[in-house]
This record gives sequence, C-alpha cells and structure tokens, in this order.
Amino acid sequence: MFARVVWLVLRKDLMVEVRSLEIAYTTLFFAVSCVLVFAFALVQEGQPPVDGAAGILWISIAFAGTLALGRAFERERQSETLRALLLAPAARPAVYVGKLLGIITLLVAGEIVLVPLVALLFQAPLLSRPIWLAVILLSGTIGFSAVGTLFAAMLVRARSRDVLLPVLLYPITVPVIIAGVRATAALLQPDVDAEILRFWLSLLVCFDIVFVTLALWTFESLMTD
Amino acid sequence: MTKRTCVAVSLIWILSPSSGFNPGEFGPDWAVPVAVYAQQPEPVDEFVPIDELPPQDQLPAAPLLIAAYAFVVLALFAYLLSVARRLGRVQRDLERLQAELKRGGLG
Amino acid sequence: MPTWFTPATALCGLMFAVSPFLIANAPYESTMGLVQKIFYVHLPSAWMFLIAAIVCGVASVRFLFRGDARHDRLAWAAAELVVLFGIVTLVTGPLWARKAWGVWWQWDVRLTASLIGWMVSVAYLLLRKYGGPGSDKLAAGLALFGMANVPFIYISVNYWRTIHPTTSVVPTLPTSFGLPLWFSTVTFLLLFVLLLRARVRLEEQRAQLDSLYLSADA
Repeated sequence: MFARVVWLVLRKDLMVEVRSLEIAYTTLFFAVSCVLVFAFALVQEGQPPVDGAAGILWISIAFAGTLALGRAFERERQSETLRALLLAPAARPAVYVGKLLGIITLLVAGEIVLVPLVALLFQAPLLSRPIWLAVILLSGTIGFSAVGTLFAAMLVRARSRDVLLPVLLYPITVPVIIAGVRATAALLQPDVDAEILRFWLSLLVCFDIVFVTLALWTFESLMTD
Repeated sequence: MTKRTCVAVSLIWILSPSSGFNPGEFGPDWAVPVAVYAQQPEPVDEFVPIDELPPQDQLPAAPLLIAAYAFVVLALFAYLLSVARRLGRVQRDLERLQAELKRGGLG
Repeated sequence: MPTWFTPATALCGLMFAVSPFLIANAPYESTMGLVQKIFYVHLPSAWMFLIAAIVCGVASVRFLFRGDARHDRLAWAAAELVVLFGIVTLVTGPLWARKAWGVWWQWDVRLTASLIGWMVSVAYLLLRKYGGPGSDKLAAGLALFGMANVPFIYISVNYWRTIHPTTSVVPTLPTSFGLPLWFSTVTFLLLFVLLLRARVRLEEQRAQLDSLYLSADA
C-alpha cells in the first residue's frame, strides 16, 4: 500500500513534468548559467582554480535544487492539489516519499547535464570514475532533497516562502554539501585515497539516514493545509 | 507519539552503523583518522608556544581580553534591554486595551 | 513573574559582580598567559548555546506533537538565547584564538558546525518574524533538524583532529582553574534561566494581548 502510494505520487509528478517540462528546462538553464558565471568569474586566462570543480559542481546543484523545490511546490499550491493529496486516504509519509523521489529524479537529470559541463569548463577529470561519482552525487542529492522536500512542502502556505526556503534550507544542508564536496574532491585526485573517500561517503549516507528518518517522522505534523 | 519516537530513534541507531560511519572506530584504529587528518590542516606542527615566538610577533593579550569581556557584557546587556523594551511595549498595549474594553470602546 | 524571579536576579547580579575577582585570582595558564582568561566566559556561553539549542529542540518536538502553545513560546525564547549565546561564543572564541592559535578562525569541524548551528537559529527567528501564520509549526520543524546538530558539535572535537581543545580538558582541570570556571558556569546558567523566563513572559503577554483583541472583535 505504501509503495503503491509512493509510485502513484511519483508517477503523477513525472507525468505532469514530462508534459510541460517547465521545471526541467528552467532549472537546467539556471544551473548551466550558474556554472558559466562561475567560469567567467574564476577562470583566469584559461586556467581554472585548482580543485575548484568539486565545490562549483555542488554549489550549482544546491542552487538549482532550491529553485526546483520552490517551483515544484508552487505548482502544487497553484493547482490546489496539495490539499487533495493530504485529503487522500494515503499515509502522509508515503506522499512525502513520492514527492522526494520526484525531486531526486529532477535533480539527477540536472546533474547528468552539469557534470560534463563542469568537467569541461574547469578541466576536472570528473568522468574518470563515473560509478563512484554517481554514488557520491546520489547520496548527496538524497540528503539535500530529503530536507528540501520537507521544508518546501511545509512552506507552501507561508508568507515570503521564496526567500525563506533557501534561508532555512542551506544551514541544515551545509554538512551534506561539505561532505559531498570533500568526497568529490577526493575522487578527483590522481590516485584516490580510498580511506578518505569511504569516510566522507559514509558520512553522507549517515546524513541521508538521519534526515530522511527525521523528515518521515515530522512530515505528518508539519503539513498544514 | 512515544511509539513514533521509539521507532525513529531506533531506526537511526540501527541504520547509522550500516552506513559504515562509526565514530567509535576512530578510537583504537588510527589508520582512517590519519588518512583523514592528512587532508586537514596540521595545527600541531604550526603551533609555537607563545614564549618561543620572537617578541615582535607576540600580540598583546590585554586588548583581546578586554574586548572579549566587554563584548560579553554589552551583548547580554543589549539583549536584556531588548526584552525589557518589548515587554514594556506589550504591557502598555495591554493596559490601553483593557482600559478601552472597560469603557466599552471596542466591539 | 514568579516570586523567585527578583531574588534570583539579585543573586545573579551579585555573582556577576563577584566573578571578575575569582577570575583575576585564578592562576595563569602556562602557554597562553593572560588571554586564557577568556576561557571563563567562552566555555560557559558555549555550554549555554548548546543547552539553549537542546531546550529549543525538545520544546519544538513537544509543540509539534502536542500542539500546546506553551512549548512553542519556550522554543521561541530558547531560539533567541541560542542566537545570543552563539554570538558571544563565536566572538570570544576568535578573540582568544587570535592570540592562542595565531589565527582568528579555522574551518575545522567544531567551529564550522557551531557556526551552522547558530545560523539555523537565526533562520528560525527570521521564519518566526516573516513567515506569517502557521510559522510556529514550521519553525518547530526547523528547530528539530537544528537540534540534531548539537551532539555533533559537542563530540566532534573528540573524533576529528582539530585545533580546538577536546572535551577531556574540562574534567581534568585543577581546582584553581576549576573553581572560577564552575562559578562562572553557574552564573551563566542562572542568567540563562532568568532570560528564558523573561522572554517567555513576553510571549505570554503577547498571547494575552492577541486573545484580548480577538475577544474585543467578537
């Protein structure tokens, strides 16, 4: 039953998104412009800052993610579908997980475009170990999205929600981003130190578990209509 | 709520070690922390006891100490003042409202 | 205000007046000298910072799951104190560090995590102020996530090598250092309780004012 609700919510979000592609295009374009701004600002005479790629990748993901979160729930608010979701005879944590998976899908799609772009503009061997990079990006995205989905959902009816979402989100997700940047930076070294990588990766997974658990626990109480 | 609390806490407890992150293992096994420390700055080597620094590099401590204590006093005082002022404002509003209600001015 | 408030305030003021003498009489620390005396305000305020964050978190949880407005008032008051004691800690620390470590700041675990925890409490206050109706519940959710940060801040020095002293320093202090420290801590704790009570009173008065307005409109 839980899985069915999750799948239904996810399918709804994906179908709506695929039809209009509004969030996908705008978020993607924003992320690309973000990386370009960094490139213009930081690349001096063709020389990118040393070890800058990891940080810039994660910053762009964080900014684009915040935008996508805001837009995703704005759409719910405008169509008044959030009330319908909450009224449905479905466990609220299942609704949360469905929304979370939708956001993660969106962010992963963005990362697929961002990673080659950052690798190109900042001359970083991001694609040399794709599986590890994928694992790092996925864990970081899950942690970021877990907190982001919860906050975006709870801010739907609040005043000043557009500016409050980043204000609330970034202090909580900074540890996730730090861990993601360190893990990615460790991966970009010519000979990867497996211990350091394992350390930051396990820290990321730990954050994921804590944040998702906390979010599942509080989603029901926090969702006001 | 207690049941949910127990479930949440036990979930965190059970699942966190499975993530591979266990701070306890940094105790006896120093291989990982050494590797992690290599990434972090080396403060011990850079730290020079104050006595061994040449005199011109030594900072006078008194201004820093005075600044710290002064800041503490000022910050606490400023907060006290802020609370007192807000309390006074609300108190005045309350009295005014009560007086008006007594006169039957509102509603 | 409860009956114990005024005598407690007097006591607190007295303790604050006495503490500089105790601190001045404490012996000098061998490597850091005079500047180490900042310790006697830095450590208690750091502890109050963490205690306030825990109070805020626990009150927020109770408010989220019970809906009692008293817990919400306590959470808001505690959040303001997190900001206050956080600022004190984050300013006295670097002032001490400038002399003791040679740098104002370092991006190690404890300092970074403390700064982040402080920012979460500032975000809490911004949310309460500008979030509009319903922001009490949202802020409670935020406080819960912020509180998860607190144990991390405390134990981080024991597991990462950082320039910051570990938690084993305080229990092993000799009495000549320990006495002014504990006196200072008790003073700060008393101040914390008094400020909390005063701030909660402010919220109680505001709630009374609101209910009075509502009854007047009815």
